Formats: sequence, C-alpha cells, structure tokens
Amino acid sequence: MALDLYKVKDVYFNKLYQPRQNASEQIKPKVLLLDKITTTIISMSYTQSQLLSNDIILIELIENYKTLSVMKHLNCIVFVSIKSLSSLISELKSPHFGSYEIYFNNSINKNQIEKIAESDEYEIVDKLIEIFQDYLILNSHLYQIQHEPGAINPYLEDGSKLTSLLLSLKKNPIIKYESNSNDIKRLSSEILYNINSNSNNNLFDDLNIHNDVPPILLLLDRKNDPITPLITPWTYQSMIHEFCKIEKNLVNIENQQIILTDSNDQFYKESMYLNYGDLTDKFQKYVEKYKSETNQSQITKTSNLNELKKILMKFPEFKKFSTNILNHLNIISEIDKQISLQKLWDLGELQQTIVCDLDSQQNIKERIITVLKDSKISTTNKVKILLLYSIRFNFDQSFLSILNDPLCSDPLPSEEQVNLLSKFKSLFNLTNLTNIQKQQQQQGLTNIFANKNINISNLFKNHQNENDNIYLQYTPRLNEIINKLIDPNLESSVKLNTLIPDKVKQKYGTTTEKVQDIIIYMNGGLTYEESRLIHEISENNKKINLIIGSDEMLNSETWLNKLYNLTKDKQTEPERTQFRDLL
Amino acid sequence: MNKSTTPTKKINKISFGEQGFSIGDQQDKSSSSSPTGIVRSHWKTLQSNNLCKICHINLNVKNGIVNCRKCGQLHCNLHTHYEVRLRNPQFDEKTPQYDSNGIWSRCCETCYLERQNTEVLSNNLTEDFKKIRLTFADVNELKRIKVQRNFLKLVNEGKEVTHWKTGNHCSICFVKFSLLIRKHHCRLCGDLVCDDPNGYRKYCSIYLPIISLIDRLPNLNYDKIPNDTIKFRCCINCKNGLLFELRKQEQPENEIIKTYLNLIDQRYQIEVMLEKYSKDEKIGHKLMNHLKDFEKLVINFRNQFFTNDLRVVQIENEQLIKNIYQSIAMFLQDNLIKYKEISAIHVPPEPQKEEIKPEPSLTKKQVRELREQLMVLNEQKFLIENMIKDFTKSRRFDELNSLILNKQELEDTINELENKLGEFKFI
Ligand SMILES: [Zn+2]
Ligand SMILES: [Zn+2]
Ligand SMILES: [Zn+2]
Ligand SMILES: [Zn+2]
Repeated sequence: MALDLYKVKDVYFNKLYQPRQNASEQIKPKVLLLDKITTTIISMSYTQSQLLSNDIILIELIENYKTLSVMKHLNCIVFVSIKSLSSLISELKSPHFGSYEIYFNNSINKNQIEKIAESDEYEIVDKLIEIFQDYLILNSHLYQIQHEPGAINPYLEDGSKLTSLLLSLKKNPIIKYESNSNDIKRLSSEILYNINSNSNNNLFDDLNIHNDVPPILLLLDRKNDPITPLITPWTYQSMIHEFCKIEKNLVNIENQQIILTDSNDQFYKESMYLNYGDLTDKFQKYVEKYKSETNQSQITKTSNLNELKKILMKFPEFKKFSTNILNHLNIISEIDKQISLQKLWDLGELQQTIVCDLDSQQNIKERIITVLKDSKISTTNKVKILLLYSIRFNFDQSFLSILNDPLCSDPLPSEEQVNLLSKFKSLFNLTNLTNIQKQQQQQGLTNIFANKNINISNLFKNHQNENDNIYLQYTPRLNEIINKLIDPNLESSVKLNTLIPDKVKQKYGTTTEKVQDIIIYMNGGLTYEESRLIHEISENNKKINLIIGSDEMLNSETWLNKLYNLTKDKQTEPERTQFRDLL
Repeated sequence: MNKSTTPTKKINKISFGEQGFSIGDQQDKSSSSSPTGIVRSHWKTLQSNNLCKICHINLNVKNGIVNCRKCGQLHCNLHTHYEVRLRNPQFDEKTPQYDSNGIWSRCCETCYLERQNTEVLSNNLTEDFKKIRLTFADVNELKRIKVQRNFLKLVNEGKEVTHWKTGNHCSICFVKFSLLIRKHHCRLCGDLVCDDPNGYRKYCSIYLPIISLIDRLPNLNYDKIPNDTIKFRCCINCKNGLLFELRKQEQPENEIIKTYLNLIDQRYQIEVMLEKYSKDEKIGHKLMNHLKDFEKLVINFRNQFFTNDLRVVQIENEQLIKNIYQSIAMFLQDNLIKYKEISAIHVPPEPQKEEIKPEPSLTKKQVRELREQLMVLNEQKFLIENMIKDFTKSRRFDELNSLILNKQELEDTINELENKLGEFKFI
C-alpha cells in the first residue's frame, strides 16, 4: 500500500520521540509542549502509555508557557502549529527547559524561521524540523482536516492542510476537480498555487521520485451527491457513526467513552466493514472464544502455584479481552436497539427500493403513505424517505398533509424540514433546466452551482450490484468517479477539470493513461460508507492506491442539519448569490 | 483479481532473453518494450518443471511463462499483469533498477508492490536556522549591553531613557491603547507598553522596586544603592535582557527531577543488565540486587511525593509526579516477572529434609514464592487505585468500571494468598 497513513503516523512518532533502539542507549526524560491543534493530532495517534514509555514525563500546552515550572534538566520537544509562533517565541526568550527540539506540523516560511532565530538568545534550540501533518488520521486510508472556527479564508486554510497531506506522502499530484463547484474550483487553484510557488521551500520540486505515473489529487464536492448521507448504512463502522457518532475515534454510549481504533483492536479491525448480519455472527464467535479461554482462569482457586503464576501473567491479556468484548457488546446492542426502535428493517428496505429503482412509483407511493401514517416512525426518518422520493420522482404535495397530521407525526415537521422537502431537488439542481428557471422565478432561489447541471438519471446509475443483500443495493456516486479514473473507457457523466503543476508537466508531459495513486478529498463531509467503498476498491485492485478524507464525517443527522442551513442561506441571501453566479 | 486486468482476447507473445525466452499474453499496447530496452541477462532460464514464484502454478504456454523484467524470476500471466519503469543497471549493479523516468517494463506482482512503498517526508531546517541565529547573536548582545547601560544610568544618575516612543499599540502584545488600557513607557528602552498586572496581558511590563533587580544583579558597577521605595516601569524584553547572564548560569535544583534522574539511572543499569542476563545467567544475583534497589527507590519516591491516601504532596507538580510514578511503576511491573524468575534460580535449593516434614503446610520456598506473588499483586493494586482516582477525575468511566472490577479481583486474590500464607504472612 503506497498511501498508508498509519505509516506516516509511525514515521512521525519516531521523528518526534526518537524511541531508544536498544537498552544500552541513554535515557533522556522529556517534556512535550503542544498546542490545541497538535494535541488533537497526538491524541488521535498515540496513547498516553506509549508516550510515558518513551520518557515523555510531562505534556503541557505551549499557550500556558507563563505558568510552567523551571526544569532545566529536561529536554523539551515542541510540536506545534504555526499559530503558536508567538507563544514559542516568548518561551524561548525566557526558557523553562534545558534544550528544545522544535517541530512544526506544516511548512513555515523564512520570515518565521528568522523570528524564532532572533528569539533564541540562549541558543538552546537544537533542532528545527517541519513535519507535515496538518490533518487527523482516522484509519490507514482515511484522514480528516479540521476547520478552526472563524477562519478568515477557508480556502487558504484547507488548501494549506491538504498541501501538508501531499507533502507528508511525498506526492506532487495532478489536480482533478469537479468543474461544477465554485468551492472546489477555488480550493484547487489554492493548492496549485501552493505547489507551484516557492513558498514551501521548494519542497515540491523533489517529490514523485518513486512515482512511475503522476499521483492524482481528486477534489469532490459533497453537494454533488446529497443522497448518500441520507441512506441508512448497514456496515459496522458506518452504523456506529449513524447511531452513536464517532467523534475523533471516541464513541459515547450511556455516559461511557469507548475508544475505537483498528490499530489496536483486532476485533474492530476485522469487523469494521462487515455488514450487520456477518458482524453479529463474528461477534458471537468472538464471545465463544472468550468463554473458552477464560474458563481456564477459573483455576484462580487452584492451589497449584505454577498455574496461578501463568494466570497472573495472562491477567492483563484477559482484562483487555473482556473490556474489548464489553465495549463491542455495548455498541452492538445500542445499534440493535436503534434498528428496532426506528423500524429500520422496513425503512432501510424502502430507502434502497426508492434510490435503486426497484419498484414501481405507485407501489413506492403506497408504501410511503403507510410509513407516513405510522406514528411510531420518527418525523426525521419520514423526512429522509420523502427527500429520497422527491429526488427520484419530484416532491408530492399530497404527502405533506399526512406529514402535518398530528395523529401521524409526533413531533410535527418543523418549518425547516418542510422547507427542505419542497426545495431539495431544486437546491441541488437535480432536475431539468426549464424547471429550474421556473422555480427561480417563483421563489427567487438560485442553485448551489452556478447554472451548471447534473443529470438526474446519473445519480441512479451504477446500482446494479451483484450484491443480493437488499440493504446494500445502493452504491455511492463516488464509485463511478473512481472507476472512471481507473478505466477511462467507462461511461460517466462526471465532469472533471485538470490542473497540472509545472514540475509534473515537465516530468510526465500533459497526457498520462495510467493511474496508481489517488488522494481523494470530499469537501463538505464524507460518510464512513464511502470510506468503506474506497477500502473495498483498493482491496480488489492491487494496482491502485487510494486514500480519502474530508472536513467532516457525516451521518444522516449531521447532514440533515447542514441541509436545513443550506436552505436557510438560500432564502436569506438570494440576490447576492445570484449576483455572484452572474460573474 | 480485478476483471478489468484480464484481456478479453489472448494473444501470446514470445520474448527472447539471453539464455532463454518468455511466453506470455500480451498486455495493452504501451507495454511492448522496445528491443533496445532493458537488459535480460538476469532472466531465469526454463527448467524441466517451472512454477510461478507467487502462486506456484505450473508454467506452460496456457498459463504463461513470463520473466519479470525487474527480478528475472518466472511467473504466470496473471502475476505479471503489472508494469514499472526500469532503467538498465549501471556500474556494479546486476539487475535493472526502478526509475520513474525509465522504460515501461512488464514485471511481477512482488516487484510492482515493492515499488509502492509509502514514503514520508520531513524537512530539517536546523542548519539554516543556526546560520540565521548566528547573524542575530551580535545584534542581541548589543541590545543587552544597551539595556544594562541604561539600567546603570537609572540607578547611578536617576536618569530615565529620553527617547520615548509614540504610537497606539503595546509593543509586546500589540493591544490598542484606550481609556481602559493606558499607555506606559519602559524606562529602560522607551518602548510603549501596556500595564495589566493581574490580567491576561500581565507579562508585558512590570512596575517594580529598583532594589529588587539590584539584589539579583549584585555584580554591576553601582555608584550608590537607591533606597528601596523607588519603583520603575520595565518591559519584559528589557527584564529578560538584564537577567540574561544570570539565567544562563542558573541551574535551579528540582527535587522531583533529581529523584527521577536517579531512578532512571538505576533503571538504565537494570536494562543493560537484563540484556546481558539473556546471554549470561551468572550475573543473575547482581541483577536481583539491582532490582531490589530499584524497588526501594520506587517505594521511597512514593513515600516522598504521595500521602498515605495517595494524594500528591506538591500539588503544583501533580501531573509530573503522577506521570513519573506511573512510568517507573510500569517498568517495575513489567520486570517483576523477570525478577521472580531470577530470584527463583539464584536462591540456594531448600534442604531436602524439609520436604519430608509433613506438618508445616508450606515450605520456605513456597512461602517465599507466595510472598512474591503478594508483592506483585499489592503493587498492581496500588497502581490501579491510582488510576481509578485519575480516571474518576477525568471522567473516563468506561475504563473505570473495568478497573474497579480489576481491583476487586486483585483484592480477592490477595486475600486468598494471605489466607494461604496464614501465620507466614508477616515476618
Ligand atoms: Zn502466478
Ligand atoms: Zn519481479
Ligand atoms: Zn501589552
Ligand atoms: Zn524596555
């Protein structure tokens, strides 16, 4: 795997902490100074005991430099973002520790290096190193960039974070982006600028040394596929996020916090992409294994010292085992509870039937009416079904009267839900042009994309899956895009523009047929289902290396909230948007 | 395998090497390496019975008999549907080498995947940085001399710096001055600074008695010592400049760190010995003594920095002390098992007759072993109690539950052991 983010994590760990290679190397106790950005990066990647066993005996925030105790015997590892430059300068001017190794998590410029040099009057800085991780590593092929609240220019911020991703993996890519999205267009030119300008110490000049074909950076916009996050997922990791929300590898269930990482949880690693049926089978077997192994530990009551010794040595092992089982048991029972509580066996099937065109409109309509009249089904779930229907067949006003009936819906649909229902299709331009113009005149609405069209029929292509499982019929649009990149002979309606950095042009020319490395960024949120898809494509095609990331991991709830806001924005500033679209 | 890599129409192609030939299906057009391409001297020749290096299938015209252009090994068609760019060997190289500017050549899956290693970039700026730092050294020194001169002027002649700067922002934190945030001037450099003695910006400047600085800098050329009521305003930069030499020399003693350094020194000895011990069992006795010493140090550390109910004595260094204790206790625990093995070997065997005695239910050896178990368990219990406190504080409840369970199990086992030991429990 040529794009393994866990490898990045390991290499940077060794860079930062320089673990001793063998026992005869001397021990140097260290302090670790972080800022808020790097704290998240570190805590996503390494455990506290990992740090402790590397003689990191203290971790502090650099912004608290004023309150640190003086400990000149300690060496200090500083791992910060450039946002902490002023704190770092103050710390160096009146230092608390013996010596400093400074690591920035993205590139810094000459002027910034000078400022640090000027403040290092005591000459205590031993190292100044750029490592490139201005992003979080969620899985070996999944990353996330973090938005800081109140960023003045989000394209600039996101661009520099994605640039750090490219640098960390030593890739100078061809940029391909969806031509109908303004956001993506601006982001792509920002990244191209970062690569072509010499602002990164010319680092991009020497990349791609081991790349026979140029890598691809594929920039996509969530708004081109608003459907996928609405569909109830049926594989483990996706379901956990849908029902319990995975927040930076942490899951909260009944006031308990569970850490979920495939790097030190074998069961999770093997089951995260399994569908629900296979998952429950696998878990059953896992519990059986635990039972048979722990029966031996009942020998605690034995008087045989040797046995006791063995058990004692196994003790931590068992503890890990049982805690792990308990965690997954808690998660799986929560998922199970939600499925029956929300009647998802029925709803899930209906969702797949609608989006994959598996039944006639009349039959679907009848089934939807049954759903709408069921007061036990939540209003939100009804809204999701109606949104899928409205994209497939246009919104049917007659549904609204049932949805607004207090006998059927509790609570009644909110204003923003009704709003979204009537505008969803036009919001994403998922209809033909004449209709759009009509609606624009009527409602003063403009489309999210400047007068560019997505052909609605394309959203429902590619769903003829060999998979028999009715719940796994739907395949996200991403699949089509990736397959088209790998095999240019395939039909596809997706329009991609291409930007080629100067150095890439020099080395490979402007036309390349082969594809090996694809780094995908989905602007506006990604689902774990799409992450699973990427994992699956890589598993099935050894020639291709894929990683994917986004600025947010979505589930249907967070996506709906974003949709409500989008409809609201469209209402409050139609004129300005219209104006921008004219330009 | 992916379907798309299997060509629909099979056309076999024969390529001749120096000592033999390959028969393989043709890949897409681009793969046809030109006759003037990559050397074939390293190609493995056909034997009577040839197997694919990867899947061990019998190689024949139907399955393909293909030499990987990179490693030369024979493979089937399926496992050579890959291509890499190669260049010819140079100097003493024996085989073609990967080269991203080279010629596209058919290769085996192994060689393709070997090419796909994840590389990770970091950029060392230290050298540039040190060069730049050097250029600032003189400037900074001049600044410090100037500040010192101005300070002496203030002490000896009562003269403040004359060039007071103008502006609307604090030169340190850049806050804009207003009715609430008043302008002040540093009396040593004349810079504009804010004054916020108790707030967030409290480190921009201080208003301090002149005598307090003189106390810390006793060796300057003072003509007279002003009385201790005279105070003046000084910015953080000037204060840092004045105290530069002093700070450079001071090595404040820190009791915790000193103890810790002592501990890790001991730990280091043990680690070195443990490594030696795996080769030479004779040093076992010495190692055992070191481990015992280390345990004493750990206990001393515990007594010194923790109260009986496990609270940290120096609250301002709480996290540091806890981290240190956890890391050394982790080490001790990991090695106590080894320690037990060693002590079991290096204590002289019990006299035979004791085994004949029927009555005392436990032999000395058993007592010792049980006590050692007890020690390990008690140590674990202490650790876990500590963690429970920590986790309760940081509200990590999921782990807490299993810890409490863990603790109970430990206590049960401890009780059991103590019962078994009975009268031998203490001594
Ligand atoms: Zn084979
Ligand atoms: Zn090979
Ligand atoms: Zn200030
Ligand atoms: Zn000053």
